[in-house]
Amino acid sequence: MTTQPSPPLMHSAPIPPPPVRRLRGYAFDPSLSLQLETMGLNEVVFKVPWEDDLQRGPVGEYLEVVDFDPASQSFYEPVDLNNSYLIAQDGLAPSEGNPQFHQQMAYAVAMTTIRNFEQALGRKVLWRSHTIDTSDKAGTHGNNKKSTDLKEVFVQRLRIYPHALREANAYYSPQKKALLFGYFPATTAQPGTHMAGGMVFTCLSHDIVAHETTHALLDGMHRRFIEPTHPDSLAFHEAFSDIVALLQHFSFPEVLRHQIAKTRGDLASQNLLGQLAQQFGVAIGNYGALRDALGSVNPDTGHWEPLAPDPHDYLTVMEPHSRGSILVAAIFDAFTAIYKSRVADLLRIASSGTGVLPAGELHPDLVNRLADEAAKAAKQVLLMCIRALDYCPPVDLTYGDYLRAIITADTDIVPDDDRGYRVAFIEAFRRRGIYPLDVRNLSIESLRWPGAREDEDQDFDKIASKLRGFPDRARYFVTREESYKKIEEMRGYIHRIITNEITDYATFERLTGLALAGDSILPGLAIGVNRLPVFEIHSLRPSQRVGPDGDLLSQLVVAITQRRTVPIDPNDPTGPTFQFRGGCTLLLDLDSLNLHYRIVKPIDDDARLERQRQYMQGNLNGSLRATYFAPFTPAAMYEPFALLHREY
Amino acid sequence: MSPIVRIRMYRQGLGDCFLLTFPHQDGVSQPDFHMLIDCGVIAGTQDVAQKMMAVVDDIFQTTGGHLDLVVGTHEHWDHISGFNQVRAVFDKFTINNVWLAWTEDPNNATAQQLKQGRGARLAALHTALTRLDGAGFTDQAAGIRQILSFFGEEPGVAPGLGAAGQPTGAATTQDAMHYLSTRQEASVRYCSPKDPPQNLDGVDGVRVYIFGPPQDLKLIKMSDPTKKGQETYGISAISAEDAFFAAVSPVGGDSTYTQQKALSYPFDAFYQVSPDEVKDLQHDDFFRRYYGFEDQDPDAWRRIDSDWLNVASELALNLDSDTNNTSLVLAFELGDPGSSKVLLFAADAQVGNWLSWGSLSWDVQEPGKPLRTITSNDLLARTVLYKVGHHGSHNATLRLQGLELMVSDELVAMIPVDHSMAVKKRWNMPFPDLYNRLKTKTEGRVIRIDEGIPSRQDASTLTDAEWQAFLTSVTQTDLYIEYSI
Repeated sequence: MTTQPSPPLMHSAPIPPPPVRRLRGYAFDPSLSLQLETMGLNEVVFKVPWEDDLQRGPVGEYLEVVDFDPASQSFYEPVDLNNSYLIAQDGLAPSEGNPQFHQQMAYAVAMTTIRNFEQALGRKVLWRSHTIDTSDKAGTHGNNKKSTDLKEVFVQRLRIYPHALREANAYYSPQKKALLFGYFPATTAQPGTHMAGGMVFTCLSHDIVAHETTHALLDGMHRRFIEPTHPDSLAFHEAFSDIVALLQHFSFPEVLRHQIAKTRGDLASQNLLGQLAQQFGVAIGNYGALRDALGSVNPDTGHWEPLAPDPHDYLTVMEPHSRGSILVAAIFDAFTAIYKSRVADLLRIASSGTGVLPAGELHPDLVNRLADEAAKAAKQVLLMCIRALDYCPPVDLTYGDYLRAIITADTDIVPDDDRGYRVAFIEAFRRRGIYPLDVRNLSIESLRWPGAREDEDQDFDKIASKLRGFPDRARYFVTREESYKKIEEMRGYIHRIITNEITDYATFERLTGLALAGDSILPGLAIGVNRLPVFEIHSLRPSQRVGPDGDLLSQLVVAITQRRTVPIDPNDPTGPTFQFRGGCTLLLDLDSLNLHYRIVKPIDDDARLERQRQYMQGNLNGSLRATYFAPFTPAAMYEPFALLHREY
Repeated sequence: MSPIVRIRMYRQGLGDCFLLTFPHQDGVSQPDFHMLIDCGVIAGTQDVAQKMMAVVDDIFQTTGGHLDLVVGTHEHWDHISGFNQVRAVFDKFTINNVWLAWTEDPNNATAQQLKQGRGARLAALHTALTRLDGAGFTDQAAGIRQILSFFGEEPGVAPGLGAAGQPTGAATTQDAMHYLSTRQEASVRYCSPKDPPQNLDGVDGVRVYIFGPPQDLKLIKMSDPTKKGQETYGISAISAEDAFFAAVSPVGGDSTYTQQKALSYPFDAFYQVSPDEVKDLQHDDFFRRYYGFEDQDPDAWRRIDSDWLNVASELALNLDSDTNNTSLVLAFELGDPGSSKVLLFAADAQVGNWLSWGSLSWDVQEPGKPLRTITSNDLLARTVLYKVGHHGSHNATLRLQGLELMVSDELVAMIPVDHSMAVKKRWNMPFPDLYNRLKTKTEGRVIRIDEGIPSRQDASTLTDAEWQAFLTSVTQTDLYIEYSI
């Protein structure tokens, strides 16, 4: 039953729609409600953006929850969140046994994650588009289709299946633009903390839902990031999704205060905020949470120990989750450093300069202030991490590239980094041996992406000037579908400009890392029907932000890519091949017509090609699965996250 | 001087079949001691009957129809298929002793539990496979089917042929194992690492250490070294794997899983809405709109009817590696305890099995010699022949606590692999990284079934003298490669 606002009467003020819809859910997962210590803080109210015409499901602007359980051959009736009783009570009460609560929780956490992204990016998010194969070649898994055979279609909503799998797994499907959540009976060697045989639902874990939604959001922005070209590729996807889930913990005030009190303000020690997916982890037999950014339980002693950063790990650890943990630990490390610097004065005051806080519990006022600072720091770090996505190359991302993206993005927003946030990041990465290639040193200036010299960027000026009005017009697109369609138009437009109107191709190629000349001799380069190398305007995103001087910056983020088909074994030119991609991300300033930044992965970079080839030959993840199910084949790439998540 | 031992690796295909001969020493009039470690080839091999027949005929010729010892390392087809396929010839042998792992012992409760569990999982996986095929996931199903071929041909497929073309028993590993364990004239021993080192009748100075399978069930279940945490199983009423199998098994069937079906549903029956109810036009149209049941529905590509079945691949891998970990692993010490060369036959042992060796040690008292305590690491350090596990796959050779402890500069590796067969099954054998490491450690002395003896270029780091020594110790024919120590 939907409540309609009452028709405005002549003498009464119009009733505005509510800013948020309040929905109850778990801050972590059901297991914490069973422990006296944590039960009070486990249930939170998610405040998600209000959708006027939210349908049963729920089905809204961004999401559609379709509750089908194939293993049980069963559907579960969709919940109507606009039911007046539910609106008045902040939704259904948390309940493991009622599938409609599961639908509500999945919707609430996913919407929260989406909202954080939109806040950081300053624009509406779009999902990965659906590719339809219009050729008559059978099969949809190959990479070698002609671009004219494939048509991209707008996908309005991400689909969520809360009970899709009967296994200890949950994953995002890039093909189906869907999140599939599993459920399973818990088997645990520690029945004290979890009922053996009790059902565990991954859709009731805030961390797992946020993690999977982030995969989808990242995929929507950078669709090549799911192609493993480097040990960092899939690891980055995992790490980024973990980071968003973790930092969202800090937006639950009760949880924050409780944990700050418990750790006496020391967030680097063992605490719930740094841990992911408790119930899941324990249910599959871990000593605690599935992943812990700060430390782990030593299996021999049974005690939690903090993680000591080891720069060798980055060189030796290749398995995606373990490798992802390195990045998560680095970012969490940066966060703790930032938090510490923010609360240094509070602790000085509280300890009267001795640095030693009084024994026992902290004063509640102090706890509140510390919690405030922690929440602010977490929010800022989360924004830094998400904004950095606009400053990433379109393909072959490495951790070093991501560090440069974070630094560059932050420099654009915060002119004077007096608190040293950027340095905190650099230091945290350095401690873990993560160094970007091709930089002379780790100074902020060196890490910033390069731009173009005045005398070199006329062609970019030309593109920028033709697209000047776009971000402004973008603000008036009413629907995301309209946005998508306009972006498609602009992509075609820019493609034509680059094909026909560039005056100095040599400089343009050098600055963008593309090969555009008709006589290009790069082996394996895809050539089009016009006998010119094929290139794709990979993505286009308008961006408006407040610049360092307080004025409004109108920018366009354009990614251009190309590919080469190269043999995996150079001694076997007719054998299996792989796609080597290159190109650039350009940040064009539409006011000054300058090329602010160019983030380049040259298509003719043979060293990078060799690295990718070695990665593909070596298949450094030497699991049993890798023995039987040869990697990099279409079958193996069919659901990359399903397989990845099966190995936790 | 006669060699101490001749190791003959038969070249039937992707599978293990090793004939070890300990020749009588000069001046001693005693027959040679012959032992057979495994005799099998992977399902789907071409001309399997002829190949296996040729192999077993050769064994008969060489041994005069008498085997002092037959070892069946574990219940996988590529190790024991021959006992079914060429049973008629095996019937003609006389066998003195049969050694099997304790996990085959009918009087051991744990062993029987493992075996039963294996049987039930295998059956459920075959059902899942049929459903995957039906849903069009032929690629995934094919991959899983190949893994399950380690347990024999699929139900309904004819086994190999014996003499006069008669089928010989069911084409299952269970049957082959059963044949070995019920040989009337043989004395059957179920081996465990707790046993003291064994002697071989009539062979002086050689003792055999039993490295595995481990007694600790957690280690048998351990297949992946990167997984942290404790191994868990068997405590709750229904495990995650059981819940999956219960879903796969049809209603009213008689497998162990159908009884657990009710327990495996996530919600009370009250909440469940069946597909029939939803398709009924009287019912609310939410699911007809958003999920749809017709092929031409615009959102058909988003359905998840069969995605849940894909975990079967994981479960097949678990089943495979659990079985691999029950491998009987033998180390032969060829002389004085503590100072002589060692042969390591690791069958298909995986991580859990390997890791269990670290804590093993034995007290050896040779007559007239002081008591010595021999550890497994010590034996590894003196290993001069390593029979590479699982056809060179990554998971069957532990690195730091395994291969890297084999520091003898006389190390030779034998890999019973047929790469082209592996490629047909889309398997990564031998694993390139491991293969390169083996080549480095052995200085090129890696002998493969398919490629035979290495060439001089492959062993370029050996001196001419070393190379000559190696060459004179190996013999190669189409049927086998023999290395003498």
